[in-house]
Amino acid sequence: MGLKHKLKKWTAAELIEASQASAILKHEKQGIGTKYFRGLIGLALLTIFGGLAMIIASNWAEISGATKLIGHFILSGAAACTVWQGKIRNNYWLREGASFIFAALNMTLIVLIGQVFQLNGTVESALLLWILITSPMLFIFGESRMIAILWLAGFLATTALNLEDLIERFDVSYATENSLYLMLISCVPAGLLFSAMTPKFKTLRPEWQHSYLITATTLYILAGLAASFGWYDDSDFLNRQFKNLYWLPTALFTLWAVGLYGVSRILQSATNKALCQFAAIAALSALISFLPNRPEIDTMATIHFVLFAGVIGYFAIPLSLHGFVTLAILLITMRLFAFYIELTGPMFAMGVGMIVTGIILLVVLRLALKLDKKVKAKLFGEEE
Amino acid sequence: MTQEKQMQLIRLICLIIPIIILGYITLTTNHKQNSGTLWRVDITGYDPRDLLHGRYIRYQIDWAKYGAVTATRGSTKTLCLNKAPEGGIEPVVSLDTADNCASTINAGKTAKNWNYQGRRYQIPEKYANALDKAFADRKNKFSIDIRVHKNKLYVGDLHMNGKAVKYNYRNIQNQYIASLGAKFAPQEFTLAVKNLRPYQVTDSQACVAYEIDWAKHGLSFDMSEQTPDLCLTHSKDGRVIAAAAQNGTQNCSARLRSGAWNSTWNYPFETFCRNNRHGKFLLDQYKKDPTAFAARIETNQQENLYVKELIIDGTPFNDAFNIFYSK
Repeated sequence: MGLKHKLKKWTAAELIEASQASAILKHEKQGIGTKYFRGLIGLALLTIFGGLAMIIASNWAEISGATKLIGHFILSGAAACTVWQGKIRNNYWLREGASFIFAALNMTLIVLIGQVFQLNGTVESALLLWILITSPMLFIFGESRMIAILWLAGFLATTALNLEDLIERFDVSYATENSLYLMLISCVPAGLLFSAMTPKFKTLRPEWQHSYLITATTLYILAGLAASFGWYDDSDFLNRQFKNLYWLPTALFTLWAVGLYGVSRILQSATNKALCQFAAIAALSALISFLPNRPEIDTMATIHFVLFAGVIGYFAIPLSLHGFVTLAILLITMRLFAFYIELTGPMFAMGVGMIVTGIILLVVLRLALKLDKKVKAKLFGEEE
Repeated sequence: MTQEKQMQLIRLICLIIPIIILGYITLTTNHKQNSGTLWRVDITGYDPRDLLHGRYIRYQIDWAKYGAVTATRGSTKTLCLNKAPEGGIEPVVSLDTADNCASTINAGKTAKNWNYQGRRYQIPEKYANALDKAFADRKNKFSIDIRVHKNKLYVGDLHMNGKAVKYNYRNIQNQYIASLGAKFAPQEFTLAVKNLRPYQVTDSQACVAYEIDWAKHGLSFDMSEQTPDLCLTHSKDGRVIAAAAQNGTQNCSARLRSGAWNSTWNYPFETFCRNNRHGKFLLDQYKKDPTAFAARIETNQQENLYVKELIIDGTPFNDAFNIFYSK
């Protein structure tokens, strides 16, 4: 039965007012329409960018370098004018779409300049230049989540690729390089999280703020889970990578855990509080795997992973994110399954072993699905 | 100025920053690339398997050809370029900058430094295959124009045998792609092998390195000389005959190109590896009779050669293995 029909019935049964029915219908139409529209626009713009990138990458010999550059500058200028027009006319999608295209054109122009002048540029240097020259424009003109995601993807890729180069320029020892890298990279999710908590940022760019929160949380989830794999390293790992600075990771993550927990105590918003606490636990997760002289027990990797996945599930309540329960249950299931394969590796390589393993996976997934429904029903009162 | 006007100005500045900065980079790079002394230097591929990667050629400048100079990553000395006594634009180079130098290039870690190791030259996709073949052809000499601006090196045109490649893409295409005539459908051949060398990689993996015995197929060649492309035919008794390919009316079943890659016919050796029981079987068979081995190869339209499997006593390896273990 369609929503329109249902609303009519509820109105007739005097369950809701006619005005409420009309408001619900309007809201649903807008929501669905905007969601699909946004998705399709993003896809169309990505396709245009892909096409442009492919044309430039094919490096047509029949067109001189000067012609290519002039043509590209004209195209970039036209995109910039469209962004301006979109802003003046207050046309949301014209401005957002043109901003996306203009940002993409900046990247292709950087690549084209490198190609025409044989500059031997690297991906990281191209990304760095792109983020430096494009960020002000994206912040000023872009309001949509599409632009926020574009910028975040560029920012994270630029940081990951350039940080090592940047540190290498200091000409310090390998251990100091690793320490600096760890210190700086650990600031990225915290930086995104704290920026997203700024009230002014939330007012000015709500979609950006939301994307920052999602990205920061995702990074903390990945970091917390990835830290569990540290148990597979031998205990001499810290001495090899950090030499006399072997204590630094422990100190750094202790500082982050304490600092984030401290911030959570000051904050008023329950969601922000919970996010900071979650980030503090992720830092604690990293700290545990970096402890000096920790025992070399591979099984701890599984226990650590499962416990952290449990933490993810626990935060479903304060963050009101039902999906965290499913994520936690899925992660725990898959990790336990991986542990089973670790234990029965040689058996898995045989035909019968593979069949048994496949059946076990099917059963375990079925149980996980049931568990997910039960936990959600208990926590959020959802129907089983 | 009202706040709204100030905001408008900020917006405008943010919008034109990318165009102004990229425009500045374009103009200054163009100026640097077209000013300063012009030099032409030979280039070499430093990794024959990775000479042409994607749509660019990987190369390094053959400085040693122009003076007692070796380019390494750790080089710190400035390179001095002077005109050769016989004139021209090929330089004479040294690391002694006490002399008057026509140009000097700093050492460092970027492509603008003389000792940079990972140079790339972007080439059009359309002509990449032809240039790939041209680079593999050892009779061709490749060089590039460089200009030196404020002790930094800027790369200009790529030359093949003294002619700018950018004006000759079509000629190179005709020479290396079009003249080969009709494409040959993928085919399989069984070839004799020699110099088998078994070795154990790990407890579970065993390999046999070997060479294709082209002499048994009627071909003799000197690896130190320029090797020709090959023409494969079948004799009346079904044997595979290999001969140097010629342009024209040669009636080949398949052609194989010569080059420095492991898919070219003159690649010095092949390896065949297997794990666990298959590996053990491979070594046992070698110990039993190394002369029983042959190689089943596949040729493709691009005139490459791929070894599909080893043959033992006329039976494909996997079949021989299955027969042995089913007994």
